[in-house]
Amino acid sequence: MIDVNLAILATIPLFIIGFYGVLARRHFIRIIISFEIALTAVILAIGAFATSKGMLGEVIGIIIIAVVAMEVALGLAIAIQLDRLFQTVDIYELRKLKEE
Amino acid sequence: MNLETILYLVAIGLAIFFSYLAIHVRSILYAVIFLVGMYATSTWALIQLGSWFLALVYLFIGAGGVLVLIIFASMLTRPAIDIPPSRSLSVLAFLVSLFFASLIFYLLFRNQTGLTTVFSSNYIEISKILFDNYAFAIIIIAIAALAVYYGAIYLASEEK
Repeated sequence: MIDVNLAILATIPLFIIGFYGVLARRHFIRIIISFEIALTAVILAIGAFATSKGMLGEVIGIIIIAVVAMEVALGLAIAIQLDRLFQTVDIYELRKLKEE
Repeated sequence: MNLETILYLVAIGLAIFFSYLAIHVRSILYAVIFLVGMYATSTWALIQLGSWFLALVYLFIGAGGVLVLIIFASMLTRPAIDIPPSRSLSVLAFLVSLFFASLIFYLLFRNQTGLTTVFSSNYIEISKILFDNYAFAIIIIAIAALAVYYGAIYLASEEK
């Protein structure tokens, strides 16, 4: 028996690391990786809820995983297109280009 | 604290360690390698929770689909220098992350007290719920997924 409160609390550092990466890093692909880490924390929290709230938690978890896969596919396609158009995937450089 | 809880905490600890490395190493390819570690240990944590079906779906889609996409994208883009953030930006980003994490988990915990794990995965039950109660949501997600993947192909293709 795992205490659900403890299981959910343990995912908080993972979420913080992922969110920190989204805010602080500059490389577009790294930001997508960070987003993936933050959403992993959410999936783990939902997995913990699934153990106490029935199969509904797992169903929602599966739906979230599908949405995450879509988001990554679209994000990486945008990264490839950015690299093709501006020769960089650094978001600071892209901001500079926008200002010019 | 029983053995299951200790193993779960070890798995989460390893996932945190790998995700920290994935954020902080300079090379994107090394970050992908650490992301594999994060996927594996998160799957282990989900199995410890008893959600083995969710764990398998997560591993197949995460390590099988998402990682391959990230590797291809990092090979198709030029290697940009990923400069580490300044100290002030790091502190600010950490504080904002902490605030949002606290807010989300406070909202989650507000009505939750003393829950314990009671059963493990049952794929038949999951499929019944998924295709009986949530059939419309599944259809919407399938259509959205189709649109997103065609959109991604269109964006990534050279000739327009």
